[in-house]
Parts: sequence; structure tokens; C-alpha cells
Amino acid sequence: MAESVLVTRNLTKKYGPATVVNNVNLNIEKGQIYGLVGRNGAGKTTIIRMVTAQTVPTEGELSLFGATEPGALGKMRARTGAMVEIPSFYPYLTAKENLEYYRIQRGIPGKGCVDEVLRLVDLKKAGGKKFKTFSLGMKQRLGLALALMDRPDFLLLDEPINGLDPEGIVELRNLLLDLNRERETTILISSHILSELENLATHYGFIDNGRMLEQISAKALKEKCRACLELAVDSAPAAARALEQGLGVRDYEVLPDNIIRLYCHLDEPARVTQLLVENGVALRSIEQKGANLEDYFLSLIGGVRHD
Amino acid sequence: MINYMRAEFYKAFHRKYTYGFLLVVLLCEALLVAGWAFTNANGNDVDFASGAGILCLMMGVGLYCTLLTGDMVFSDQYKFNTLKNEVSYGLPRARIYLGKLIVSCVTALVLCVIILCAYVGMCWVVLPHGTGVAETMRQIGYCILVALPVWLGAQALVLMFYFLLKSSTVAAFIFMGVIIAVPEIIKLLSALVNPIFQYVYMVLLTTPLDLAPNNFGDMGLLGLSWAVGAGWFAATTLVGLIFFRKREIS
Repeated sequence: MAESVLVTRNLTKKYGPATVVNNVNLNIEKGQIYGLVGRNGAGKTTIIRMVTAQTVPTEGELSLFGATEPGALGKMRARTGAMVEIPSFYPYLTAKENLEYYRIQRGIPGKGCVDEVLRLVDLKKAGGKKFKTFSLGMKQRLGLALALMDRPDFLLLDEPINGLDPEGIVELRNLLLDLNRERETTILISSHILSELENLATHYGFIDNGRMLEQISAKALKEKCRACLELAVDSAPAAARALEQGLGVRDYEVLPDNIIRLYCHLDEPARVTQLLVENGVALRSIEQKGANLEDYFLSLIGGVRHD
Repeated sequence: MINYMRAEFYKAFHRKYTYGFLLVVLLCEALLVAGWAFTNANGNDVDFASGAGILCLMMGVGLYCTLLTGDMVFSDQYKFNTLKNEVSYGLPRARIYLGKLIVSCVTALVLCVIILCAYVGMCWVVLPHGTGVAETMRQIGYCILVALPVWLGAQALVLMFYFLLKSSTVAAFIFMGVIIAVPEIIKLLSALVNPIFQYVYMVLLTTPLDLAPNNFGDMGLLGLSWAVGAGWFAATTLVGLIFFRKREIS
């Protein structure tokens, strides 16, 4: 069984009467790239802020690398790297000085790691510039450099794509994939740019209004979102028999309410319809289905909201 | 803790602010001494004892300087949102609080030594040495001994305000209120309401500094200043630590 990196039990955060995170149970295992998906204000950042000790949970438990006690949790946080919201540094220090300050503070041996992470995030040339002169994209890169400086086992990234140009997004994606592959870095990444997560995540957690709606692996999600013909018929067994005998179909599944999902012959709906009719099966509807991450998320939260 | 303090020193001494502050104070001192030299050239008679001795009356300025030395180290952490980088790495909040407090005290002491030595040195070089040089140095030494614990108490008070209040400006205003307005209010209360407020007045940070110039060599006053300084230091640090422990870092 893989080592659990982050486990939360009924994690809850309330601000006055408002419950921002509501009984969230998370389980992130070593080596996963966990995409936390939700709209703005869904509670993604608050979860990350609780994990990174920026705010104290109102209720619930949090375990990091198996540690739950405050002292031990603190020590385990030293194995993490985090970038939460917009990266913050001292504006009057240069990028290099800022990183050097945190290197000394964290007791990371050797000055070389500062240059190494600056090179890794493509800020080597801007290392001597003051932070206050940085663009949002450069700030994001520097925030990532700080998160990576101590070679973390667990990386927490809150909306890391914000402010990056298309080239930067590709570089970040490749960097995260490399870290995950080469160093086995576990990554928790929150984003509302779902197309980007689709390229990265091995697991997803869908959150809305502070509640965890579903946790699912990318593989299972792909399976769920697979393109198919969805047939609503009067008798699923009769339809299945007709499909097997008439088309030699094996790749289908029967759902409740006499619904059949057919994963082949997707471009032959007329032929399927004709076959069913010929075999005396009444077809109530036939629909081409298949979803991407965005469609799936929207179906989970009940469609697009305009509140 | 050592790493944390080393980092804070690195930051404090990589700021123009620190050197700018020091430069401005040294320039002011130089102007003051030059002014005396100018008046001496025009028939006045300001000697080393009078020029350097004025330090004893200016110990209160050190209380206000703690605002700046505190700011050099605390560095508007809430404005720049940099505390999140520290807590998210698992640094205990007590270490963050105490680390900054110790570094701000040490920074204040280093700057204080430079500022005082520079002033006395300039007076020594520029002003004539009449009689009473040794007595002046003793008086300055006594006043510094009285002021030192009070300054450290004030430094702890400043840090508490910086840690507990979101705005450094508001923190500075409240600190000024405690230093300037509270002693006057207590004086009024002891005169108009109840003499018992005199006891409250005795434990204020400003009191030992007010009394020192007229009580050179008074060991009782020296003991009071250390007790007052230590009391403020301990109490404000405790309050700061308790409230910072669960403070929201946004």
C-alpha cells in the first residue's frame, strides 16, 4: 500500500456563520498528482491554507506523512513546498536575496541551491532584480522557486498557472511532470483551469461550496467520460441481446432505467437504431455522449450557475 | 532558532532602511555638535561635559527609535504577506515571534552603541575638555544603564503591536499613545482622582527615564528601571505569543 502523504478527516473551517470548508476527507498518496477542482470560493485555497498552517481548522484532523500532533506536523511541513495564492516576498530585496534569506532561515546547506532553483524556473537572469519590479508571471516563477528550494517531497500549489504566459504554462507542466517522475514528488495542485489539470493530474478531488463532491483517479474519470452512444430502451436485456447478436458488440454496459452505454459503433447510430427496431426493441432516445473534465465537473455541481 | 535569527540579521542588514536610519541619526548628531562648535566660535562656552551630558536628557528618544528598529526586522510582514512563507514551512510560531524579538533587540543595541559612541566621540573631538569629563562619563553610563532595560521593554511592546495589528502604521500610533499619552493621563488621574495612580505611574516605561537625570547614582532607581523593563518585556512577549499562536495568516 502506498504511503499516505496527506489525510484529512472531517476537515472543517468556519468564519463566523459561514462554513467555508465542510467535513472534507482527503487522501493523497505518495507519487500522486492530485488536482483539486472547484470554482472560485469553493474552498480550495482554504484547504491548502489549513494544510500549510496559515489558518487553524475549526474542526477535524489533518495528517501529513502520518504525523498528526502539532509539533510533529510542523516537522513534516519542512518536507513540503507551498505556493499559496500570489507569491509574496520582500519587495526591497532582489529575487536572489529573497531566496537566500529563506535558505538561511530554513537551514538549507550550500548557496548553490538558490542558483539552481532560479535556473530551474528560468529566472537566472532576473536574480539580481528587486522583487518589486517583477511581473505577475515572474512572481509566480519565484514563488515556485521557493517552493522547490528544499527539494520537497510534497508540493502544494494553489492556482500556479495564474499570470503565466502560454510558454510558461508548458514549462511549468513539464517541470511538475519531471519532478513527479524523477523525484517522486507528490503534488497537490488547485486550479479552475481544468484543461491544464487534465494534462497533469493522476487523481482529482471535486469540491463545491466547501464540500468534497467526489475523489476519483484520472483513469476512472477517463473511463466515466469515455465517448459512447447512450440508448434509452424499453427492455435493456432484449436490446443487449440484439446488439450482441446483430453487431457482435461486447463493449457496452447496462445502467439502471433500461439505459445502455455502447462504446463502439459510435459513428453508426442509424445502424444501431435500425437493428433495435428490427428486433422489436422500442428506442426511447439515442444520444452521443462523452465528457471532458469541465463537462464532468459541471455535471457534478449541477450545471453552470449564475450566482 | 539560530538559522532563523541569522536570516533576520541578513534581511535587516541588506536593507537601505537600516543604513539610511543610521546615516540620518549620525547626520543629526553631527549637525548638533557642529552647531555647538559654531556657537563656541562666537564666544559661547559649550564644553564636552555640557555637550555630551545632554545625552542623559535624550534617553527618551531611544523609546521612539524602537519603533524603527522593530520595523527594520518585522518589515511590514502583514503588508507584504511574507509570514505565510515561514509558517507554511512548519516554522513554529513561537520561534518566529521570539526570533524577531531577539533580532530586533540585538539590532537596536548595535545601532545604539554606534549612535552613542559616535555622538560622544564627536563631542570629544570637537568640544573643549573642561573639568568634569569623568563625572560626565559616569552620568552617561548611569543613564544608559537605567535606559537599557526600558528600551528593551519598549522593543518588546513594539513587536507585540506589530505582530497583533494588521497595519504597522496603526501599531506605531498606538505605541506612541502608550508612550506619550498614557503617562500624562496617569499623572492627571493621580492628581485628580486618586493618589494610588502614582504607583501605576512608577511602572510606566517613561518614568525611569524621566527620573534618571535628577537621580544620578540612585541604585533604587536603577533597580526600578530593570524591574519595569523586565516586566514589560515579559508581559508583552507573553501576550504577543498567546495571540500570535492562532493568528490567521492571509
